[in-house]
Amino acid sequence: MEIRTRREGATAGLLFAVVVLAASHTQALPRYGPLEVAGNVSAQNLIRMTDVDQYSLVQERNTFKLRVDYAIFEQGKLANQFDVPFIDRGKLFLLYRGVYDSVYHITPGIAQKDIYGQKIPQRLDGFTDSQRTALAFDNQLREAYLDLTFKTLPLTLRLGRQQIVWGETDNFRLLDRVNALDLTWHLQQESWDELRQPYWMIKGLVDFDRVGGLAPLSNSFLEFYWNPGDWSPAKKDFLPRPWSAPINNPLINSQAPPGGGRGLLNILNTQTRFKVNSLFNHTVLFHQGNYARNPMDNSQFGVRFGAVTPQGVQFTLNYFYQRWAGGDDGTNAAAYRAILDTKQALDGLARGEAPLEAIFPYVNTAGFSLNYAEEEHTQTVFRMESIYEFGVPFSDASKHFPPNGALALLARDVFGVTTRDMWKGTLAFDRPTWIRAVNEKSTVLLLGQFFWHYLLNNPNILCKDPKEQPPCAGSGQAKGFRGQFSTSGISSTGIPGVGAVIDKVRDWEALVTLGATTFYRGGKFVPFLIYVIDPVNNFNMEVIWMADYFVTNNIIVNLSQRYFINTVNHPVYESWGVAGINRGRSETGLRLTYQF
Amino acid sequence: MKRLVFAALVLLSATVARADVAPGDVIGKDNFAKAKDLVGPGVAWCVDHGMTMKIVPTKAVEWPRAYREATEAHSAQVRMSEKGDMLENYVAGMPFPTVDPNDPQAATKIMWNYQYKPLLTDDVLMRDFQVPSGPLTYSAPMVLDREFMIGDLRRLYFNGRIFVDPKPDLPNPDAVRYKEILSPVVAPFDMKGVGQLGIRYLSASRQDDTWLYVPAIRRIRRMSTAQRSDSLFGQDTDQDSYWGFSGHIAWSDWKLLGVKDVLGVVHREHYRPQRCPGGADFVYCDNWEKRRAYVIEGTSRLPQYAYGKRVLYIDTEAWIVLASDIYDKRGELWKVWLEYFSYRKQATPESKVVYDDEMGFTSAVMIDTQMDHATLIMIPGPASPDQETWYFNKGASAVSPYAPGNTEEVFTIPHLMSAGH
Repeated sequence: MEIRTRREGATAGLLFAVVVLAASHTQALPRYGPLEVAGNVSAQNLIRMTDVDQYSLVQERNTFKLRVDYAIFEQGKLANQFDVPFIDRGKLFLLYRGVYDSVYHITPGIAQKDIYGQKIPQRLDGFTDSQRTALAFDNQLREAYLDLTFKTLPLTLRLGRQQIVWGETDNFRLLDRVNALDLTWHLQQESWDELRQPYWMIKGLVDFDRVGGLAPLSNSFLEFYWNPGDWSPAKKDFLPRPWSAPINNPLINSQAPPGGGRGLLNILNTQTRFKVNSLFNHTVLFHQGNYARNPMDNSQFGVRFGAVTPQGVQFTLNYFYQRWAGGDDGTNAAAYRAILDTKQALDGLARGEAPLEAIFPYVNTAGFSLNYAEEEHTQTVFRMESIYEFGVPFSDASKHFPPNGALALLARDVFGVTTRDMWKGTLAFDRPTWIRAVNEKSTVLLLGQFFWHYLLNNPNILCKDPKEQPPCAGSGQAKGFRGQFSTSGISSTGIPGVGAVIDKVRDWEALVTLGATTFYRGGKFVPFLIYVIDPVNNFNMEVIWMADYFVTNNIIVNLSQRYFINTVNHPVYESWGVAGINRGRSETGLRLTYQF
Repeated sequence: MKRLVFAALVLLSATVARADVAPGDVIGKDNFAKAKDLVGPGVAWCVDHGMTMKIVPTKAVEWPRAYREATEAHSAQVRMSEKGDMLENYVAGMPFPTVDPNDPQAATKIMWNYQYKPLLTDDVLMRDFQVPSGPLTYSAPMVLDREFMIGDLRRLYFNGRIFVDPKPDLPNPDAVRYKEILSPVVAPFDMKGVGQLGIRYLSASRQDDTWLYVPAIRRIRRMSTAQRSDSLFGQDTDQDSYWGFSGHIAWSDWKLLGVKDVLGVVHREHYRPQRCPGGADFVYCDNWEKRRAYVIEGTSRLPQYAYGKRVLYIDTEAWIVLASDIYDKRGELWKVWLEYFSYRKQATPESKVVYDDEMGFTSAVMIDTQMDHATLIMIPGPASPDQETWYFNKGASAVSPYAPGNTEEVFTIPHLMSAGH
């Protein structure tokens, strides 16, 4: 591990030197034509404002990107020399991203609390040297694909490591679900282009307009993709990492009681005769389910048809068959299930596997998107998107270990899974508006989105003791779904019932986003203002302002602030990733970028 | 004494009345009086801020033979619809070759002629060009805020075609006038990969459709027509000002202010436009000639339109916009658009592409006089590797690394998507 990370460090250093050299010769870089080379280097510093008098450095991230576009086939010829049958054009695209976040080596003290309000004493210097180095460096070939256009077929193929984005939404996802998010980088407070995990995939696009079209529709196409196994779920991590879920690892939490829990695996190891070192079937929470990463076990598939109607409505019809990514769309779904079959559980324990399995089941999703530019009355572009998901997994309190069995210790914390269907959607608008008091020279683009999630047949929450009310601290929960932050107290305080929480999985969830942006001084100064509010969960909200200032065409300064605002003092268990999850994580950011 | 003063004034006014330019003159701020009757407020503003104009003899612009023949064959049957928002019985060529300035509809007819001008009939490709912009100090060269480098800008006309089969119309179930695609932006890195597709319909009752491919969000975004007059990515230019004016004719009320001699650039000397030295580098220094022009005032009917009005100087021979003065809602000069045409049969003597007729290769500038900021459209720019840069009426052979030609399949959402990176 150490050798690998040192090598990565050396690679990043070498690349940094290359880019500095390249940057000094930017005019020599090929811009036009068959070969294009471009990229940037940036340094982003984030200061977390935990409270009015508490500040801490949480990110000092240096990033280098290098992009190469190469037209390998042009007019049926390879490298402009050799005739190639079938293929008319082909382009190779490479995008490398190297990251070094020095915060893991600076190891500043970061005052952190978990979502339950408990202080987290662990610090970044609690990681070993090799762990910190591994966290500090990140080298990725973000994209590497070949675009092929065929001579006679109305088909283009994109083969390789890529991102696929469908739908109409901004920064919250419904149809944009092909690439799961990496939420360890900066949760979701970053361009999703940086957060999506690229996969090796095959994408095809059939352009019906090349074969006469599908009158009366225009711009009609069929797009499909197949991921032959290179899929992984949404990445999440635990405290004390600055950009983690705001909880300690419920499996191996090393924080001792009474300040913290003990971790379910620790409990098994210390309080039973079993010795476990992994989850069931060697699955890994938020990383790996019970499947191999091959075409037979882990294929994903999606298809969409798109067109524009004679009335000017652009629409797509979409279908996906892919694994549940772990709730990176704001769904409060189950990340693992209890192995309730006693024989299976005991067999697993005998192998050193806890009766607890990380799950990423296949889910069928059908949906549509549409947009329409209404010019006569409103001069507004309206957007809409909706999906119906079949079989989303939820942690079900009615499915638990027998209270008197060998695993009774886990009966109040680990549950089986029940699947339910969900209906989700968004309504949105974009309107360029003259607000001359704000900007006399350019319009202000106003953007709004309303999201909803509806869970069908959501059972009511009942305690085992009918006289007791949720969070059922005394008797435990008997019925109903349990959200991701639910705890009986064992894994948080270490004491059953103390600190018990039921993170309610709601029938309806909703979110509203409003944004505004404009250009000043010929595009030299570009401010952005965003407001996000979750009206269902105590109106927790987020206010963001950011501004890009182009010092020159090559040097950009970005200044930003994010405020996570809770209207109540008690924990807010929301799943969109707004202020409930990010309580105490308001931040100020400064990013300097040199692009070439 | 009074008689003497009066005689002196008469003599002076006669001298002023005869103020004119002659080939060989170089007009600048100091001798601007010679040209003041030949330019609009916009050009006058530019001269006042350092632009110079080298005067050359006026040279004729010939229409392409096919365009001339189409005009002779079909113009007699062309009518404006009752509302003036559409042409009826139009086939090809100039719709109204004879315009009587006293005709109440003269201004609108001139604008329809401009719309169906001889320069752009079938298709056009502009490759590898640069669009720098920056603030103006007038004393030192511009320090760029932004410089966009564009891969391809293509336009395909669906009616009035005279060079490339099928003629005169492409199959046109959606009643399209033209489609235009700008894809991709190749630099700077934060804009790399941006593409835009626009559709202009024959009927003014159907607004344009515009889609933008935004690499940062990895998908196509629909845009409102209200953004056509808005500065593009914050630069000084807007879509409706391309070519001097690119809005739909029927979305504005037009008024003919007069027909007069003006100065314009129609036979630029330098194919690769040369920026003026020093603080005047917000414009190009090249040859200006005296041209006969319609002076047309247009006021948009669209709500949310940026400008109060435009005054266009349209060449009576080439039917191109020589210059455009653009006013804000208060009636104050806001922006100036200058075209720098070069009518010639080949881009340079070394060019492989030689046209049968002279084509109008152009570059342009747009100046925000209120903000002291300018954007130059340099086709070709200093870094453009392609010597030709312009490809007129080449249809499927207008190939580039970004698209297989000016064919219908290129002007689609699927193409914009598949070309997006």
